[in-house]
Amino acid sequence: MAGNTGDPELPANGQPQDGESVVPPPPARKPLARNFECTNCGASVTVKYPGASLSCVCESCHAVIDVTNEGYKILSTYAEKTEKYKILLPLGSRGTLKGKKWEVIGFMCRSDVASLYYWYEYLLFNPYYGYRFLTEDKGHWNFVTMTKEKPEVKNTAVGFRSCEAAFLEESNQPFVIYNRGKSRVDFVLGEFYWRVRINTEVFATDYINPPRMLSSEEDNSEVVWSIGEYTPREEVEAAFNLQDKLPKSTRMYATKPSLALADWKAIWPCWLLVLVFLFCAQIYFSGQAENVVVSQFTGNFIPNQKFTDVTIPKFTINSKKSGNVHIEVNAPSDNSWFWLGGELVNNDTGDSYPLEFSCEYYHGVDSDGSWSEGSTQSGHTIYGVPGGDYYINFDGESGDFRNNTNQQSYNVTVTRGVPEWMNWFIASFFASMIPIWAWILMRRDEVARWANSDFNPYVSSGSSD
Amino acid sequence: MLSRIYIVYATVLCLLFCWAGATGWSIWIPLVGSTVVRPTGPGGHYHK
Repeated sequence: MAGNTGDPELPANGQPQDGESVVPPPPARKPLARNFECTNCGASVTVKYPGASLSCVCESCHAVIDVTNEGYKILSTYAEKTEKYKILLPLGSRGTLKGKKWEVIGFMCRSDVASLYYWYEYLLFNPYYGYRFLTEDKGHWNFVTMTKEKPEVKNTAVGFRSCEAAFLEESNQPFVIYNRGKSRVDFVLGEFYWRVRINTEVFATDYINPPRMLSSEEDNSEVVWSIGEYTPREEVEAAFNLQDKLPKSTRMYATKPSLALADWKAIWPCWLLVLVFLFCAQIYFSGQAENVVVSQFTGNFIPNQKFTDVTIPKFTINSKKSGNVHIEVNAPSDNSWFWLGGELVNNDTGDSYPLEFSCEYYHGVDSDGSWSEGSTQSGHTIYGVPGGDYYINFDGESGDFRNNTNQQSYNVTVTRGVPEWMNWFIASFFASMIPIWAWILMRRDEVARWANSDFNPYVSSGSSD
Repeated sequence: MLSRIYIVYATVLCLLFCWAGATGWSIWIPLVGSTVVRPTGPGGHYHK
């Protein structure tokens, strides 16, 4: 196709619109339709814009006719009259898209030569703004404008990979290569500003930066660049007064904006910030932790016998503010167990904190070799303990220490203000849940977006179909 | 929309974390509770 963006009109208020340069409007003249007989079938053919259109299609036999040729030369014929192609926007219908009024004057079906993947293109015309295309691909619409700018194409790093991308002068946002191959005109209706022929092939390359697509089409004579912008179905329906008549698609598309991608782009910097904050705060709190032993106690017990009413003498926690208290018990458990249960009691207020310890350590040798499980140590942390005087009451019992009835000893160590990393793990976990969910949704959308691409970054080059 | 929810959520979480760090509280005990530490024997096969 040839690039023709048309001449801009002078707006009614005389002010430029959308940053477009404005030139004086051409002398007002009423476009005159021209009628002639189809040189293929003899049916009457009407060219609505004879000055602008170079070819048109006979509605009767679908022959493509060169309207600039005095003898109305046939450019190509379509062998069959078919209902295969469903025209969603009737030729001649008018609608307002992107703030301007357009008339649908042409329709074509094009396909990828290699894969036979097809899509539809509607040619829109406005006498003042020229031509635009509205493409429809399985329920997804793109409003396409030809551009005279030649984008810069180069290899660049996108994310963690290097790929071919095109850049417009207006920004450094890369349009990443999406597809490349030959596309063919399969079917046409209406009139066109170039001499359209069935089975004409061009070498096409698509680059995407959702919601926009940058496309180049190259034949022997020229390279035409165009910019497409995703247009929601509802917008097309409203423009052409086709409420709920256009096919819906819930699938992802190359240029369809992804809400999940937008969410992910907004969330991940916050996520990073939160994780850094939590880590720094954790380092600060760990550095501030008192981590002092406030009491040590050694007791005796006879294996396989209960003992009761043991009290660890009063000890003082000096700090005024509340903090944690970690109590650790060591017992010489050897293929047996040792248990303590009791409470930490505030001597001033009577507040008590329940405690329980179980030191179990087993080991042996079996057909797989030596094994062991458990530990001779057991710890318990109490949180939010205010300063003051405390004592510990407890009872205890133990298992059979291999018939060793000799008296054994155990140790209880009370430490104030131990560094607590579990808070950091839990906070980091909860801080990561929403971002990970957002990433999963984004990834799902992007995998679907690139599923039809020959340059799919989510498929390794080593995998085969 | 999700990003706004996350900003509010993360702010509350950070405040909770700082409060827990400053007061020596745990933010996970209310979630998981405290575990029973009665002796279970090797492999948890029996209770004494």
